[in-house]
Amino acid sequence: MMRHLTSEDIQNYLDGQFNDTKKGKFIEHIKQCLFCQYEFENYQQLYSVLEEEPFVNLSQGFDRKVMAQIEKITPEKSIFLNPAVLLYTGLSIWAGILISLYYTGLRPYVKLLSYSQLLIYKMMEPLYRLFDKIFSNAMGELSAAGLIIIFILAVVDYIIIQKRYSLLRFKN
Amino acid sequence: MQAKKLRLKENKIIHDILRGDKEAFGHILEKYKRLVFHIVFRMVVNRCDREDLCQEIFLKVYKNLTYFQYRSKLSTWIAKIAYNTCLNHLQKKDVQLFKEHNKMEPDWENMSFPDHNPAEQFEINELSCRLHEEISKLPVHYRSILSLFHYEGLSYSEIGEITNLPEGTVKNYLFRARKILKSQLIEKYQLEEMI
Repeated sequence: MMRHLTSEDIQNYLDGQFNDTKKGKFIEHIKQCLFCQYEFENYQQLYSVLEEEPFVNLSQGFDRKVMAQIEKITPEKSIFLNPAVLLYTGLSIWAGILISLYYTGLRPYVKLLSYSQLLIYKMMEPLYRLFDKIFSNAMGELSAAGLIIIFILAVVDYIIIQKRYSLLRFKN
Repeated sequence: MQAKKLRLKENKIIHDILRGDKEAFGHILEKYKRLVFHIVFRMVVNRCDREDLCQEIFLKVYKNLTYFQYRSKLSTWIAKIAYNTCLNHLQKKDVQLFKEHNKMEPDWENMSFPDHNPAEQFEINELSCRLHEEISKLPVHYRSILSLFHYEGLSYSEIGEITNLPEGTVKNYLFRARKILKSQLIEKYQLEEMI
């Protein structure tokens, strides 16, 4: 006894889910089986009616109303959530500290703190002297490196990050 | 090639909008209002709510455009916003999503029809009305999936992405919806013809 096509078979065929072999077998069966032909025609009719549904229009002035509401929205650049800006700020501060230490050195700060009787300063004193030694020799190079890094990051940010993602925060 | 050109053009429009060109959003609105309205129309019964929801959806699209990461088509992304907005609206109204809904009234004031001769027009109108009536009785998910597949021509996977359902489930719902419609609509219609 011939196996009839299921509802799923017919819909898979109409949805274009069958490969050529299955399509061939499907069509062959339809030609031979009146019951399945009837079912297939019913589905074909349903599909054609589903796709013919009238387009339902929006009211006149819908576009104008939406654009009017959008005009009221004010975009606001959010500085604090921009990672590039945070990075600049941090590096700028670091570069500023390095430059000031280059010209003043750590010596005045160590001297100032050496008068302090705080126990915690006495524990930290070796560390300060170590930093002083390092910074005195390498201050110029570190400052220049910091400034160059900031410049490169600025270029990268403009080319890639700013163009790709602009962070706009909206307030109603 | 054509699709790629269109996509590049669309990316440029998005870029312009993000740089502050609000007028450019008009292109997005014009292109996708039909898609949004189809989704809303199928999911929401209340006529007054529909247009408000469409406005709300486009405002959400505008505000969240900065988060669009080009991982899917813009149409899929907008459809997802529309679908989720409608679902939230229905959940607020405590509508049962998987139960058959109350009958939706045909929206005669806002319907327009493609050009046909009068006799054909009458037949299409009548079939469309019956179809509309039968579809309105289906659960919300079935209705929205039918709309996305047949009116928007989306694939199972795109519909799955919009509705956050597995592809198999989308296919299952679609097949079931059509089976119900076929048995309700075609058989009733043919029975009346015989009478």
